[in-house]
Amino acid sequence: MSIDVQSLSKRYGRSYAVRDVSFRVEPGLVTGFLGPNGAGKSTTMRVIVGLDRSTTGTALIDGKRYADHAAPLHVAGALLDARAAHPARTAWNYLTSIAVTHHLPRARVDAVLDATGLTAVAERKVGGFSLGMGQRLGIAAAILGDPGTLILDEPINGLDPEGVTWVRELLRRLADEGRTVFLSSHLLSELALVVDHVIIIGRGQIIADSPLATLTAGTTPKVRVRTTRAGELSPLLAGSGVTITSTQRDVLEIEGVTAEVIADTAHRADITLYELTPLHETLEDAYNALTKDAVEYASSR
Amino acid sequence: MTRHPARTTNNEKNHARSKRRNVPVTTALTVHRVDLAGAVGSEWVKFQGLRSNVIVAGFVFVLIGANAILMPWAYVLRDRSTPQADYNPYPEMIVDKVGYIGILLAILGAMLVAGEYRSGQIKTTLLSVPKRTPVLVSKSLVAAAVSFTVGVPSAGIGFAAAPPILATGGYHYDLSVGDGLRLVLGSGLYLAALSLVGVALGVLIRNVVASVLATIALLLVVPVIPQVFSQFGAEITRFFPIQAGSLLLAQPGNGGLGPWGGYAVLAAWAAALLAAAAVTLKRRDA
Repeated sequence: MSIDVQSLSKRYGRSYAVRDVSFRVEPGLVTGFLGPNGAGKSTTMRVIVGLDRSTTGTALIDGKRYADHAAPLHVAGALLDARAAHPARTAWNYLTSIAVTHHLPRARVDAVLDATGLTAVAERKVGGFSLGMGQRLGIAAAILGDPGTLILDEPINGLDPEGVTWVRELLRRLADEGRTVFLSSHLLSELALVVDHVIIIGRGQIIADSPLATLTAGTTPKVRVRTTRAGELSPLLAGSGVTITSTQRDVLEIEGVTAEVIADTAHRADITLYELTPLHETLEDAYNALTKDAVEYASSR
Repeated sequence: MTRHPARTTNNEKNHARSKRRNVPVTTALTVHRVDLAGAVGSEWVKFQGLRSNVIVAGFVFVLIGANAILMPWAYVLRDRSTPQADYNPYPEMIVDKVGYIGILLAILGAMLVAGEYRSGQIKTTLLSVPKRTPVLVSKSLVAAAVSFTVGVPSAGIGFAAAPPILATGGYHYDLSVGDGLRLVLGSGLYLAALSLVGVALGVLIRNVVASVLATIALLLVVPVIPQVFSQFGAEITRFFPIQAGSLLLAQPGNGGLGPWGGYAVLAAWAAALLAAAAVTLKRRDA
């Protein structure tokens, strides 16, 4: 089951939250949906599951609108808001009310409570839940219908480290089973560890749509060098396309030359290096580079 | 009905917790479709899941039941020393206060919907049942069924208790079986229709405080405004939900709409508001 978004626009009043957005989320992969606040991530997800109507364009899951499927919860499970239950309701009552709509057996509710570690608090009111427990309950609700597609808005938000690991493993497992996993996050470093594919949105438009590996490759990595003779090394490396910055004493960050060249140069000058670290470009760097224009444009208006 | 099937012991809970990574998240489920029965069942589970709902319904039952016993009792106990005061009780006294008590169930109906918008539950509801009309239908059915179920037996208490209580004061309770059925069933029908007015206002307004205030305004405040100004205004007042609907629970035969005519006007209010609610729910973003 894939998610197909075609020329989707959503206007609230006079401003567009999402403008002419098209992308496809493939099954069997974990696809990350990235963007600054207000970029249109949540709006896009809400339109995909039919909570909001698109102004123009379509958003289909497995070729149909979410609402047109006979068993919607089996097609897609969504976590759009950690707080989506009345505070006085118990976790068990909340999940049962969802299960009953599709005539799912009671045992299924117990199974997802178990899988999310909420069995012990099933009879407690959700108003007393921590943000992390609320997220677990939201994930329990999302997987209740054994969905082919998962649509999760900030699922890692508020989870403790154990919970983060658990979500990561869960998403990986669900994708490996051939399901479509689509999640948004602003915790880029967490996303880098789990996603296969990244879609970046800024100011309501798609900025990038590519595999994670492609996104982070292709730029010269920085190299961090630590030596007591930084002042002597710098001029030896200086040249066109080389940037040398120093953030602290005896430490240089060098861009435009490989670690091998730096090591050879230092060796020839008999300079001892105490550290020589290639700084792999993170997803965050790629993301910042890509969204920079969008953000600057937005603030200059 | 919605009890946890097997309450686990602490040991079992800890065991389950330590094992949870091994528990299959996904089991081979046969595909279960969403349908109206499922939507109604879900609304019923949600209704029961909030104690406040049960308390309000129970409170209305107690109020109507208490009135049905206290009214005949008051007839027996009152001062009957003058011949003018010694008139026979009117049969409709057993449902005397149902007309206004019903406002509580209209407010409950509004809360069933607006409360979901406040808590965010509406998103879960619309994800589980994405076609929106069935959501409105099932909410309406649950609100109406609860109201009917509260109204019939509580009025029935009066129907059963009034004759013996009045007999202790030497009164004969003159209520035909037909009229008795009209009052007992009518109490349920009236409350059901009024709760639907509340459900519709909840959908249209969505905000808890605003929808409760609007319900009170439509049922209590607005109707008295026209009659202040003219005789013609008083004619308009008769067509408001409570004024028209409670004719079903009043003594018939003073001309006008009559019991069922009055109820038809209330039903038309409920139907029109629900139709507007259905269109709104379908069109609006959740």
